[in-house]
Amino acid sequence: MTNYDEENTVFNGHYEVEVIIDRPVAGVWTQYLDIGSWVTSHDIENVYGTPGTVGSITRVSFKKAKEMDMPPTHHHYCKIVEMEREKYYLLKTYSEKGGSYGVNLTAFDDAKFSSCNGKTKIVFSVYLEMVAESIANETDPINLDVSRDGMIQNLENLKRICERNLPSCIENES
Amino acid sequence: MTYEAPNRPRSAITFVALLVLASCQAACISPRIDAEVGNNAQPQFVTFDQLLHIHFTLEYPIAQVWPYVIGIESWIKANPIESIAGVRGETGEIIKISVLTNDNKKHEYFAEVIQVLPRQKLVMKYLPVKSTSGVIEGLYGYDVYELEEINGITQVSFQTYQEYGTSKMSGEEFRAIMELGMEASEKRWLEEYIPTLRALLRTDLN
Repeated sequence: MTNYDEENTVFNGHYEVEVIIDRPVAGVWTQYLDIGSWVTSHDIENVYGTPGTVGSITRVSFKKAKEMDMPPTHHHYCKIVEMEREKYYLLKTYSEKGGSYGVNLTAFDDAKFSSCNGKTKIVFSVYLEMVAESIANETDPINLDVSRDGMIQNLENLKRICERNLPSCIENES
Repeated sequence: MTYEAPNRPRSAITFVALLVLASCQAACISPRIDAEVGNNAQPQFVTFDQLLHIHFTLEYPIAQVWPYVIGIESWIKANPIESIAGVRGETGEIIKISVLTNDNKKHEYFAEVIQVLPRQKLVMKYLPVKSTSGVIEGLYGYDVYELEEINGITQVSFQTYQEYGTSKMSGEEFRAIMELGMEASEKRWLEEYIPTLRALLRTDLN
């Protein structure tokens, strides 16, 4: 092993998903900040700081963790590390001390907002590292399909809520 | 609000332990959260998130700019950067960054190219710090370069997401040092790196 090789207990993953919401960015942004309203895959509880502000930390519990027979602890943390209104929202995700779901995880989850013709595009990127002894023994390649599928579903929830509840650009103008 | 002891089954926590945990919560919510928020009256691991977003445009097509994204050492010159393993510009390439500190010690950091979408995106992951001779004991993060060409002009977005960690100083001291470093880094991008890149692109045309 060289002085730069990662241990075989490390898994690196990255994915990107996007959604286009037929509503102006101002309303979408406000709805996005109310994470609990559209993230249905996890229970979310604010544990530090003022919710929705930089520095605040939420405890995020994957609802299906028990059903999927994941090792404890069944929660991780998300900290808002940076945001720029209607443009950018960056979370750092990390596990409970000692691990979450059987791994030590750290990730940056970045959501970029752009606006075009009264519509909002959100590109959500995850850069993730997982560390666990079990990773070294995995025979099947690890993938992030569950996480990616969950996020696609969550963004679809956001789209549905926004398009149902927020006025469209045309309605705003009239 | 209650918190479980990290990674321990609830049944294993004794009543006394619960009392201790409860009394501890006001000052230290969870050891992992403390690392994040810098509650470190006692020496312990603290983290600092270094986040940098640099967006700029280059009056050149993407085909001309891309080689500089996979060869950053030609214009990012504050610290020596070398490609030491793997294939240049491909997933798996290993890059070494040598940093000379004020006390003349050399620290080496490594990064691996983990995603390449030719002429669109390159992602590098910083590899774990193995030597702990310096203040930095933990480094986790990514550099992301994204390119988009509009009418022959390339929009470049550079973002870095890095978590640094140490147990060698207080959260406040660490933050102060790292914030200075972050300001210096942003300044370098604007005053050194981007002008150097522009000059190289101009030279290419000649």
